[in-house]
Amino acid sequence: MRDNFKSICAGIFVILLTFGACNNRSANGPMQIGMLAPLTGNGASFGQSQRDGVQLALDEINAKGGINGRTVELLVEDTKTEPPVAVTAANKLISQSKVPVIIGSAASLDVPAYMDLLEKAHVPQIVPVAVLPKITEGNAKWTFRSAMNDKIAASKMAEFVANELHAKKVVLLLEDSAFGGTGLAFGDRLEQLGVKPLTVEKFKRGDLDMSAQLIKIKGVGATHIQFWGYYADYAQVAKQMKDLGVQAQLMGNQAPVTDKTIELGGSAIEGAIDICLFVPTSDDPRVKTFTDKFKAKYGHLPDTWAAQSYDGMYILAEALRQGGSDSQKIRDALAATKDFDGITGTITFGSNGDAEFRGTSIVMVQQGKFVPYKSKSK
Amino acid sequence: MFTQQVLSGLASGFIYALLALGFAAVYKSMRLINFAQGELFMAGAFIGLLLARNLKLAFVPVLLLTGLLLFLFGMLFERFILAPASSRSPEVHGMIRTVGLSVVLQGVALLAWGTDEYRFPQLLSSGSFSVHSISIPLNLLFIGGTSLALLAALVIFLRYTHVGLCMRAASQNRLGAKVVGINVKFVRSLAFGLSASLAGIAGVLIAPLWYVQYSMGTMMGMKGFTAAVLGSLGSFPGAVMGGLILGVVENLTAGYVSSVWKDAGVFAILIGVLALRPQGLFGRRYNERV
Amino acid sequence: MTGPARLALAVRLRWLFIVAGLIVLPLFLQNAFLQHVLVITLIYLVLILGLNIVIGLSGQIALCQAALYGVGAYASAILVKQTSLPFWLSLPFAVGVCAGLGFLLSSCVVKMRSHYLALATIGFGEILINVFRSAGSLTGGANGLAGIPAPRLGRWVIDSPLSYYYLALSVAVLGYVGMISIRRSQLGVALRAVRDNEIAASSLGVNSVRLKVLAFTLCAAYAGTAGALYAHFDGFVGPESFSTSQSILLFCVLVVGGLGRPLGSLIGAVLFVVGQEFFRAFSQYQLVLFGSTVIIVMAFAPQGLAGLFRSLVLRTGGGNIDEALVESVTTWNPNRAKAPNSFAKSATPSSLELPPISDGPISSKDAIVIDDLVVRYGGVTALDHVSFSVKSGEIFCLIGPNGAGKTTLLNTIGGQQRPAKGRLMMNPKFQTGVRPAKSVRLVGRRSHEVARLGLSRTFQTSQLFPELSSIENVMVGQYLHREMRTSLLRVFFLPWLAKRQDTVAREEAENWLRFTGLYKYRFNLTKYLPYGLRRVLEIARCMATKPEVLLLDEPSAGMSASERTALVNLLRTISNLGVTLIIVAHDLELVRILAHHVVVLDYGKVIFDGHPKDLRENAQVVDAYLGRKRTELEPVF
Repeated sequence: MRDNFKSICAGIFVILLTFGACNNRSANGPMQIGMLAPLTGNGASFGQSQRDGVQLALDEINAKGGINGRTVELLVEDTKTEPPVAVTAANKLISQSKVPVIIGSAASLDVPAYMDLLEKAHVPQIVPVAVLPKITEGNAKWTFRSAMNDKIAASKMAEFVANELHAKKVVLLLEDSAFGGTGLAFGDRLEQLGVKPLTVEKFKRGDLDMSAQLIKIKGVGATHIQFWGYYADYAQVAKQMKDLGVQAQLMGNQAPVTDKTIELGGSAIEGAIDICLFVPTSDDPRVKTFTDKFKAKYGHLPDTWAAQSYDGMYILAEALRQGGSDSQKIRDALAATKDFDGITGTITFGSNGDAEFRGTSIVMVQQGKFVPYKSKSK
Repeated sequence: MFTQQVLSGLASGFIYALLALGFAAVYKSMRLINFAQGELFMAGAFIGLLLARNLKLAFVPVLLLTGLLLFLFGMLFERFILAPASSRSPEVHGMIRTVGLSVVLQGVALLAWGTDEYRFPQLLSSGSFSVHSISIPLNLLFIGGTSLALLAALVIFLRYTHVGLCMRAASQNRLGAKVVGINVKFVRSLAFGLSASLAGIAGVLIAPLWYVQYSMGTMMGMKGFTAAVLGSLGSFPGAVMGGLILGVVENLTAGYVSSVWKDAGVFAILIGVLALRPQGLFGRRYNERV
Repeated sequence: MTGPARLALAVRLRWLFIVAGLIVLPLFLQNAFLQHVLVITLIYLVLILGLNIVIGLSGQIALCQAALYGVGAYASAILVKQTSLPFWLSLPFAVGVCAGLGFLLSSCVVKMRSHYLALATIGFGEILINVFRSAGSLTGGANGLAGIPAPRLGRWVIDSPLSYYYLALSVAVLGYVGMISIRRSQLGVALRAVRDNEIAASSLGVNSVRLKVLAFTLCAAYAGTAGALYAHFDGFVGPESFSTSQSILLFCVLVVGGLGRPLGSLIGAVLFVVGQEFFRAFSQYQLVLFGSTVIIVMAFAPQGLAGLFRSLVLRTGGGNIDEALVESVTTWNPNRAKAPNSFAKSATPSSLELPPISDGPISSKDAIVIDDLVVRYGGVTALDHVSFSVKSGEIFCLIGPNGAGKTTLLNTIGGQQRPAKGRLMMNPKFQTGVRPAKSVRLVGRRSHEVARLGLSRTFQTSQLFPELSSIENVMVGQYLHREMRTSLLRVFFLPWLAKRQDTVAREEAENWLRFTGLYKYRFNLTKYLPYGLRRVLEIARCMATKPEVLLLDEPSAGMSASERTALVNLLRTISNLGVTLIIVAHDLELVRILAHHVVVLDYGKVIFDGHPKDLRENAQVVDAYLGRKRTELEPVF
């Protein structure tokens, strides 16, 4: 029975060792900031763009001497596009790594999960990619979003569809979630402009077969389909429209503006229309510089998410310059951001932490790339 | 529109049918539910992807080669991992091992390809042709044709070849089959290999219509099983019927009830059948003797 | 201090050491994140304990645990957010909702076979997830519910990981001790019996359906507790955490940890959390590792790591640590025990303190009356208008050639088989009952009901519970006597009372083992017992039900001559206690020595009904069964 006793001792010792060994000590010297990003899971393409954009900005900042003489180090935690993991990851950054500020997750469903944690711990975050309206609809004082609120996108898209496309027979095809629910805002604005959507169809994210919904849409004779959801489903819809012979113009929201859409959609996605903050083929010289540098470093063109993250990092850098490592001061500096001139527009944070509206771009897919929209009549 | 919904349902219905055939084959010969059937389907899609993209093969060679590779894998897995399952409640222990296999397969796919979605090269001509304003996707014809051909081949194999006879004998009475000289171990491996092969072929058939992702197997496995149970587990024609019925019912539910609840609808069917009529639509209830 | 005394002290000390260690543990880890991880581990421990009860103890493979976890989390969160009731009310609410749901689920699936059941539970899980995602107004849909408040105790808010740790620890300890207590109790023995051999358990009066539903409901209650704890800890609940893949992972870690033992749940929970949190860099390998571990563990150590720990470190194959220690059998390995040979030499049907069963020898009353019984299998008539009656207290033998229908008749009486028509009556004698004994119809009763009427049976191939020890097998027999049973509430909240009751039950079980000469094999798992002993153990188990009628199916089959003699003595003793014996036999010697009354069946028909000494003279019997010398060559056809 000494064996029994010894093995229990050994067991507890091993447990303590394992727990203790994973105790991360933050180094002195470089300033550390945290970032939550969905590097795996179905938000991976956004998380990776976010990381690429932020990293590029960071490299530039550090090359010019860092912030107040200190280099900035980025601690990245993968949220796996799973909200509970995001919560644990946020916990880790705050309690273990003790970062003064966080760059928020690109996945719209992650952010509401851990936001309360930040409120309680008084740690500010800047959210450069996540578009979910709910993020800035609460009373959060420590969250600042530089991406375009999806409700604004919905409104602008509706205006485009009614005024530019003169569409009359429009149907909505929405993801059945809070994310897709923003599409209803599109419908409302469209109605205000005098065009009532014929019907609203729903689908579950990741559902590979939309034929039932598309057949119904074909049945009501729609000429325009407004989609609100993620890129994989967007591509699937386009493919199945072709298979089922649905002759309508496909339009989407911000989320599908990524290379994955083109990769998955192939030839079926040609001509589809979307909305975003940034087009890499713009003539603006600053955009060109950014695009060249990005391509040099990563080998492919940046998408709107990378550009937004780039801007976001620079906004944060400015706040760090003023606030140092003090979370309260950083927060106040972020709140005071006014007329920041970024490559995705001029950014000012409103009282609710949301970036006030700046110009949007309507884009379409042409020859496998997102380009600014050109009407066919031209 | 109704006819169109039915036709669309048939496309996925044939895929369910292929998966259900695999379940039936394994159950008939080993009284085992192959939990990994969905993941074998996913593996087939990925292997097909590799073959089509990297080796640039045409569709039919991809189909056949994938089927063959999965057949071999299935045989080896059964021979070395399933067969030694202990004699106490072999059903349960074997099932747990197939659970392990499904997790491993998912894990390997995750390692190799991550969580990304991959487009399968369009090797079949896509598009459709219209008959009376009902558009029939060409893919559907190909999938349907292949599935029926496989079913016919399977039935012929089991009923008219010597090996098929051995398989049927071994499934009904293991000891008796051994006594008359049938290599039961080999036959069981054969059955499992066949089942894996069917799943893999289903994966390759449907991949061009969808996209390939590490998680695509889980739901399909469950639906394939539902189809198998619906069609009476252990009956091949039943499996195909079950698959088709399930596909059509699923699409009709999506079309007329709610597209969001269609998966839940499938599961409700599963539970209903298992609880109220476990012998499926076509089977008979058997009493067990003590 | 002597060996055993030192052992007993070490046993008691180990609990103290572990509990003290657990209380002090978080103070070593000043890091809030690590404390957070500890709390999550405890919550998963509760969850996996529940899973262990339904899979490990009752043998139902339920793969919806993550979904039930979600129900608990959502229920508690929704109640608190909608009504601002405190956590101390929402916790029992969540447990109640979950348990209720588990009860409903279980009632639908309880009769299904294991693999069907597994898939049906997956189906339920998926439906529940759909509900979580779609009932947006209640559950927040895909967004989930955020801002769930932490529990409050007066002015003290339990929201730091350290304080929550102690809350979670108390719940986890209660749940852990509860499972140990259940496993040891009569209830646990009966559950495991149902898991191992449902037919045999039913034949001993165990209502297997009720027990399985109970186990499932209990599992759901655990899941609800874990869910509520989780919701108020993380403050956020979203549908992603409750997917089928999570359920399958929970199942995998439980299998690796060890089914059926609380320690297995602990190992499983640690593995799960360690796998998620500490190998983030290797998180892509997580699935591969889990999956291959399951396969390897199933192949080499089906009892899981907990079982490995027990057999290597504690060196017990079955039974309970305390029992084994008390026996000072630390060097005893059942695999290497000398194969126990026949019980013949040790059978001493001595004058032990046996509880009185019923009064007197053969009375003139009928114990069993069979009238015009017909049983058909498809086109074959197994029993063709069979009628006879068995007097109370007599030894009755049923013989006949193969296929005559003897076992079918036994199955019909025992409730395993339904007749097409005919009457089957039993006249029970209630020794302590107030009711006058009246005829009871046996037809249409399920086998556990038949057992409760006082009718017990053995089977043609011994239906023992292979993973239970001999004494546990006998204890299953005691289950139908209520005064022997421990109620679930007592097991959980008053474990010492339950233990006392069990000790009484165990003593009586030991008496039955002594009665049949099997006392020294009481801790051996029955799967290691040789053939002859198994048959006798089955009889011992039947005796524990204190039957009035005992049905024996070929009790002497495969026994040597000396074993048979001992068996005859045993059966005579049992008969002298007043038990009516109905024996199906092939062994004519046995019949000649023992029987008071014989019936011969041939092709489902009764061809002889009378005293054994008249057997030889009956021409029909001789023709059908005994055979006679042919004086001349008669044509075969």
